[in-house]
Amino acid sequence: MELLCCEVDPVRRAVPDPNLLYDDRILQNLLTIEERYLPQCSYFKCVQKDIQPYMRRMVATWMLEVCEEQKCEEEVFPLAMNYLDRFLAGVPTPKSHLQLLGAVCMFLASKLKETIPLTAEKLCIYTDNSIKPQELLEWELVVLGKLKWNLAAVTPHDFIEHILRKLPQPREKLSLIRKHAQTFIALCATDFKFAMYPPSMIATGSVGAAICGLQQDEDVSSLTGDALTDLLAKITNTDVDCLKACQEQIEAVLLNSLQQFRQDQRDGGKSEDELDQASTPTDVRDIDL
Amino acid sequence: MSEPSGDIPQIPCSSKVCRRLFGPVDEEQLRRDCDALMADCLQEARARWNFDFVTETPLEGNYAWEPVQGLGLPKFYLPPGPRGAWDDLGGGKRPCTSTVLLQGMAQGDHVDLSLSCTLVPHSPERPEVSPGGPGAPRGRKRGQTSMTGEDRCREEGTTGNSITETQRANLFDSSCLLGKGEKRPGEGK
Repeated sequence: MELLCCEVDPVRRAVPDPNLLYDDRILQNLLTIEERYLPQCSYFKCVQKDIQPYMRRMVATWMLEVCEEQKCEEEVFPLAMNYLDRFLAGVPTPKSHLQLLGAVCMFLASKLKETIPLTAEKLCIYTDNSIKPQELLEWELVVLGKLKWNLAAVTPHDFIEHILRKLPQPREKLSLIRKHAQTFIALCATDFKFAMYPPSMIATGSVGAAICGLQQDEDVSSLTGDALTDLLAKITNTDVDCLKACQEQIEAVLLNSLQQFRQDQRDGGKSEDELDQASTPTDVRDIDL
Repeated sequence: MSEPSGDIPQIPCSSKVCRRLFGPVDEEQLRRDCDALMADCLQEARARWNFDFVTETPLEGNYAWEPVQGLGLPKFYLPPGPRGAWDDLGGGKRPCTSTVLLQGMAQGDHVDLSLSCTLVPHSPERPEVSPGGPGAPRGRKRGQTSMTGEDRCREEGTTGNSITETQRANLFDSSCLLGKGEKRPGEGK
């Protein structure tokens, strides 16, 4: 006798809309507007005095962990990082405010993208109660004002389906490729080097890296190497060399993360400080190269 | 906390994700910076819309502000009840930028007779936009001024059309509405 467990997913999702996913005009429009939502400058050089690149990595890693533990939609984390980068590109900020800002950005991104958004109270608990819900709400307005209420930023996730449907992959491989590409996108969002890259390039590079990585274990693609890169570049109008460079950087960041993770495991009991500086997004751990 | 969905995990306080990253947070500095940045935003909005959002008074500038009857705002943007209900939700000290809508509500049943304003850009080349009311300052052209903040924000169109600008102004007003969604019934203590 078979037992059926009919638990209903509490989050209601819309079915994929072919009008949005299978129309090339959507992709073209996304490509046209994506650059509007990039941070305006490399802010470590020209705006921030107190905040260092490793601090962004710390807060990003924390944000990713919160999003994962709360099972947020995949887009929430990269979108929140986009808000954070755009805010920091305009407002000099002391490092003691950075975690609050990270929480505010997750709060906003979650409200924009999720059916059941993160609550202010939960986010404050995740900061070990170093901030209060009231402060989070007040800073929410500050961030909104500085972002000029432009929250619907284009993220790499917006491109994934458009890219995948144009690849000659067998259907059954797509979900694995999608999952790995999403992990790469999250990984990119933790690294400042990718903050100024157009989302379409990150998406394309992530799909390329996902396919290349998976290809080593199983046959997921009839296209490989240069032919794959050429096709990917064509889909998002990306320069082939830029795309190659981007994909290599993504692979390098992954390798780096894995090494960091292995080292963390070897070191076993580490002080909290050191743990904080580990830049390993937890999801990457189940990718095996 | 009781969440309507069983799937999203509750936070165990010992979770290693719960941590403060950069040491103690100086509440005083947080408050000062918040006030300064909010004042910044208000100043920017004031210059952009020639409207003082604190005192709710129109200023000299590119836009003529006039009272309108029946805002035509979707109900969503209107506060649900009299002012008192708001303080319960927001916790009071939120730097609320506009009280016009709230006052409109506080007067009771006269939802139609709102005190809110809409803006009318002076652009002679755009006659389809409703002309400024009697006595509205005239003669300034939009093209003469560059709006503040445009340089830093590429996402803003430089020649905004009146409809989106009206909506944005409304958004600005309704900034007070934001944030009340995060408090769910039965959650948070």
